[in-house]
Amino acid sequence: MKKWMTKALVAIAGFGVLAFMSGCYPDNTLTVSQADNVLTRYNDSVNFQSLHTYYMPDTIVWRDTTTTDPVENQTAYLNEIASQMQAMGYKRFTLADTVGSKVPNVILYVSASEQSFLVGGWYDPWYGGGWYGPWYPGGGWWYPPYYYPPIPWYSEYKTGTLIMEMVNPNDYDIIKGDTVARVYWNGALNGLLEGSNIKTRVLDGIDQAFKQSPEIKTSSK
Amino acid sequence: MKKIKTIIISAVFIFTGMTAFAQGGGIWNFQYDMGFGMGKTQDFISAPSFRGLSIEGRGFISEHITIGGRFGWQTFYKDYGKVTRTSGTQTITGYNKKYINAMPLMATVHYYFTTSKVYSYIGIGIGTYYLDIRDQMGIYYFPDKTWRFGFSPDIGVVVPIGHNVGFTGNIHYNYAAKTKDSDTQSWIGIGVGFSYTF
Repeated sequence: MKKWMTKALVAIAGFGVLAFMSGCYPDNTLTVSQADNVLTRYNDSVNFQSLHTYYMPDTIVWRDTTTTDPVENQTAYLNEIASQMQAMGYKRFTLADTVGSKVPNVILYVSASEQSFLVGGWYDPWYGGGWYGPWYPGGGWWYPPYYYPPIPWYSEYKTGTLIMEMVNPNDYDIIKGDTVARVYWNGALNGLLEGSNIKTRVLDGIDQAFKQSPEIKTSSK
Repeated sequence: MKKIKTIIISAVFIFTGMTAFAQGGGIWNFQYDMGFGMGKTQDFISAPSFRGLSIEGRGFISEHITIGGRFGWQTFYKDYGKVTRTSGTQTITGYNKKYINAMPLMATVHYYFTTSKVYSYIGIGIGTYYLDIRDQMGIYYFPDKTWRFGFSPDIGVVVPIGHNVGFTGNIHYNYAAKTKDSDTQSWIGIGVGFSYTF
């Protein structure tokens, strides 16, 4: 075999292997909105048809933090949840409704949490998919010669979670001396706290949580 | 990445070990592979894979029989977009992407019907598959990384195009056995590339 053919074959094989090293998870990027997840779960021992009223506090509670700042856009989020509960056939109780022995069938607690993640590592330019660093101008020469150190990289991202929990305070278990109310339904929205459209994404997530939970409709629906 | 390096180093040892037996010459294959999922693999990712390569060394131990080693890499991928999945009383909605990275590491034996103008052969590889299966919803994913027993029968030809060099083409079935927590994976591979005879 001619030398140039050997070199060509080795070069093709080498580039093929390098392309694959960076191609383990092709197209592994997400837009911010693609990172959103909506998770719901209902209690299948509950007869939701028999439920008609609920109470929801007018505040979203922070979990796992001592901050007292209100959750941004909380009024919009609570209004959207109330609208969806109404569409499911539930009547919202206010404090004024709880006169005498009248109590709501369930309580809907809404809470939020934030988590920060710092990830990082060493980026080896030999295996960089399409990224060649400042010392590779494209003219075919390399600088500094024979020295391609790994480059440190890091990224910080913050996720937010909004949790809705439907409980009946009159339906509880005593577990190790504690009174634990049974959760009838819960919905959790999780996503990246980035971008200018967080409010829209959360509102869409609330709608999706109820859309994928037809089981909790009351008999009036 | 450490596991991948281990696999590649293991592959080099297998190739050199196998071909060391080859006192009567042998063949190196460098090929591009396409994968078409079957059974559980197709259920998981319905799209075929056009990301694959493999390297194989074979040494003749008799006039018609070679033994050797094969290392390959096949990546299946599909973007399913926004999906809603229900399991029992739980439902999740998110942006779903699925990946299967399959790396066969095989000891092979082949029988050559002809070794004159065109090399035609049938054979089988037996060894292990390293499978990295990822089911991603949003920024979260369910990883499944396993080593499995597997085998891979194949049939193919090598057509010489010059001194010691030829085009190669083959069809191989890949079977990676199930584990306690993971399904069987299988696919049909179609490979084309170059062969170097020595």
